[in-house]
Amino acid sequence: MQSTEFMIPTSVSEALDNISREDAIFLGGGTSTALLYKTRMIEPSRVVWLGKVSELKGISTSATTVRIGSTTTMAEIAANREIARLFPGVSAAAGVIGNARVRAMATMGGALAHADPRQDLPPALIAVGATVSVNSSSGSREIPLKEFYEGFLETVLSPDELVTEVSIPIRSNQRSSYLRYTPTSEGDYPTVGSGTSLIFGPDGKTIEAATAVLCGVGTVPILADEAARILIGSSGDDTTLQRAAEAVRNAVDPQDDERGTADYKREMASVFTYRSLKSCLNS
Amino acid sequence: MSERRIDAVAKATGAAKYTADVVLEGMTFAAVKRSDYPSALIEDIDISVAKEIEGVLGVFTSKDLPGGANLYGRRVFDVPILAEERVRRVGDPIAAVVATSREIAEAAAELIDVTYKELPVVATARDAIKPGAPLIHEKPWEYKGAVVTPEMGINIQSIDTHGSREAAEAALRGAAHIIDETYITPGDHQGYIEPQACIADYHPDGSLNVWNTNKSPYRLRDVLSAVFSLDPKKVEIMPTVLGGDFGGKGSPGDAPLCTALSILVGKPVKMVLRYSEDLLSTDGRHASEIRVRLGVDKDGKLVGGIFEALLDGGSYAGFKPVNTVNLHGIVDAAIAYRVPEFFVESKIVYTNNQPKGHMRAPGSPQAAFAFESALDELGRRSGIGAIKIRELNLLSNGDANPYGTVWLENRGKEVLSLALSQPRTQEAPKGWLYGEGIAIYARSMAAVPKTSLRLRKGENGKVIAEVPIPENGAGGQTVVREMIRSGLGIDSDKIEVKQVSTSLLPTDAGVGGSRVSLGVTVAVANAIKLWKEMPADQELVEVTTSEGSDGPSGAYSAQLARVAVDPATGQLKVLEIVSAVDVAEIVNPKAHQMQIDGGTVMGYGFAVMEDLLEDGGQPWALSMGEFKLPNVADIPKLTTALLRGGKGVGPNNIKAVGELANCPTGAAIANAVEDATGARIRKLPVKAEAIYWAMKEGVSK
Repeated sequence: MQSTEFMIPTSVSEALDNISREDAIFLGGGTSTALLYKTRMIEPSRVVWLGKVSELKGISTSATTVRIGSTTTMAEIAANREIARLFPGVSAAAGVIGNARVRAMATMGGALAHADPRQDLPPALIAVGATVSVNSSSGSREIPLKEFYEGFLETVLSPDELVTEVSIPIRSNQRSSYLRYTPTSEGDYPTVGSGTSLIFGPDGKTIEAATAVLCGVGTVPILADEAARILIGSSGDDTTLQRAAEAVRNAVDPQDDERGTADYKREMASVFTYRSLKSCLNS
Repeated sequence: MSERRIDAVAKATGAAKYTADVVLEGMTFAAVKRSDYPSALIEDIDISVAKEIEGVLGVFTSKDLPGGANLYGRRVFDVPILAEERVRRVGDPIAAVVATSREIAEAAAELIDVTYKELPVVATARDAIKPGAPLIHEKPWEYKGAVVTPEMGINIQSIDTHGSREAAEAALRGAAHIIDETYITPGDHQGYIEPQACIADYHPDGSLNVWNTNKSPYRLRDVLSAVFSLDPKKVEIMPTVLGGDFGGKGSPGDAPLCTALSILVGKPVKMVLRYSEDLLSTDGRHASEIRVRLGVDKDGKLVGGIFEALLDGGSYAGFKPVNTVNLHGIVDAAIAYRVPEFFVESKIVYTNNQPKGHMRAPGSPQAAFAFESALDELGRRSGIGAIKIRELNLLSNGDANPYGTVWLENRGKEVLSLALSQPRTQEAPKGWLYGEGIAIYARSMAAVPKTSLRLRKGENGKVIAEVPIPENGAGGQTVVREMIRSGLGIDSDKIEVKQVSTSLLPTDAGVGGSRVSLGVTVAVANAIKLWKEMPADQELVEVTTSEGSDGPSGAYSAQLARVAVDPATGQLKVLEIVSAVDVAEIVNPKAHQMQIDGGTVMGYGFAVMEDLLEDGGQPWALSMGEFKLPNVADIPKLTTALLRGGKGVGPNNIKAVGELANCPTGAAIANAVEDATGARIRKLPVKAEAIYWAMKEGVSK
């Protein structure tokens, strides 16, 4: 019988020292780890719990950036007023994940590293241009979240790297939204989730930049670039929104499963992108 | 007044001792190597690595079973404790490890290497009866307890019928309007919180003690005695607390395996299923495909009906306990209505899916979905109207149902009108379509309430009631206390109700069949009578009962579903489910209401969520993340309207309620979806996607 070491570091450097072993893993709130454990996808010989590393926890806001420490929980993100004001999509996504018990435990860093393509938070964060900060004993790097995912349960992280925080730039004239579609149960993974953001020009009317990102419809979060291009230069009138939403159908790559056939998910990706954009405009 | 449930505090505080909590001295732990294939020959089982693991006491296959005993079942003995030459489903137990810890047992079980030769798979009931289909069992009629004969066809577990097909066909030919549609429901699981668990402790003197997640201890005792040729008097089924049941805890579970292993290792053996194993390897609700033909005359009166159900019984028939090896809920499909010529056939077949058994009102949720959907469709298509067709055909007092029985009273029309009269309180979201649907269910109270009970003097004026039934969560033991409290006029805290092991009382039929409250009220009333006449020096009274009904009787429920549908996505929101329930006297109002609410939520889960996702001989919903049950956020507003003043049965004048609320929900919701959208969904669970495409295609006749 293999036994598992449980380490409780109190600083990032100590945490990184502990992860050097090949099959060691970081543990945040345990909601993703428990799933992977149960299905025997991981059988680590060492677990490095980050719950006592205070520098990884919390949300700070400057004039230009909001920083979210990697062990901040979904409940804490959802309850943060600055995030709700600046990035309502991020706030909404953190507030609908799983259920209250999951949100009380699940950490942002764990959620991002899990890389389940049905997760709510990534599209909301990518839509507002979030960047991931990563540390290892050999140094640190910053990765735009949109470049973070490589495939189903796969990220660009190497085994000894730790997500330390996510930073989101504060932009004037930005509006964002996240909507998910869970037709069977509130507690289910979404059939599709849509994170969008629109940045308006100095006139406050013309869309200068747009992002539309979807979860549940591919092996990674999907960026609908064509939809964004359609939106830029418009005022977000209904015809343009519909054209943009229509373009999402070609961007997504869904699979048939119990949450819907690929055809249905494609249709719903379009419907929920439209609704998410509408929600941006009405916010 | 509602007294607090007997089990409430212990369950809420964690003090309740479930089977998994029981620890015996010298206890060992079992884990099972299960089949990876739905249908295969076992060519080799290599246990050489597993048995060398430190802490492993033994690794056993079917060849090792004591006395060669392998087959067991509740009626038909066709379930192998450990697979012999072949496996018939994913999850079939092939070999078992006994070790000093659960973790070691599980790790060793993974190291058992089985070589298979795959066989063709029978994945659906429809495939099972195709000419030339692979045989799941070569000669199923040879099993002990079998009701099937070679003439019935291939892969048959049982066929139950009622009525004349010819007469029903003739009646339909004369009908002014007919409906002919087929309705489908999936394999389902009871979804109890506590996974199945067992401890068997066999002693060299031939005695056996068993703790099992089981609600029918006397039946379990008899099965174990029969399988292992033990003296029933020496087989003791110990008291346990159950963490939910819903029909799933009536089976022997892993008691036969643990007993065999305890005999083999000479120590107590414990096995607790992981929930994924429970989803994979217990016995849930039969998937069904039911063709319904109904016909009315020009006045809207039913003239005849043919109800042909094909049910997926899975790989073994042994989990059905009744004599017919069938589900009476199917045959009883038309029990609420006057149908002059009604023919019903319930055909249950073997497939390579998980074996199926009993789940809350066996057969009724499937039958009610099919019958009440078809009747609704007939009402709408013929122009008679969905409500009118029911009003015209529900039984009146004195009417015989299609099975020739006249109940004490028939209050179907009254529950229908009571449900419809409940004011609407929920609005559909803006832009959504709104609809309402109704469905009726009636249930016979014919199950024989065989039970026994002992009242004993305790210290300080206490009365101790010894009962044979475990508390499965439905409140049977609380009913016992209520009855004693009111019968003897003493406070609840002076009454202790406790389950005793099987040798300490004569008999019990098990907790189920909507018969517990009736059996208990009869037994307690008889015991109280004796108690009051008891001489002062006598310490106890004991009663055994086997009747108690005051004539053929039944109860009705009507459910009204109020739904909203998002036309852009097909998303269904059930806003409210109104349950109008036929009642006489109520023993414990709170427990009664919980049965209605819990039943309705279970019906809602069956209607819109639950599905084992059996496909190609593999169940895919093997965690609670994939097998979705309703959670608090999903549950619609529940409204209950009680139709009081009914004629009940037994000394307390009661009607059973435990299986009334979970049966009509599927049809009520599907009927409401058509009302809202024009789209008719004939397959459960009702999914947003199905509504979406049906609306797009304008599917509705």
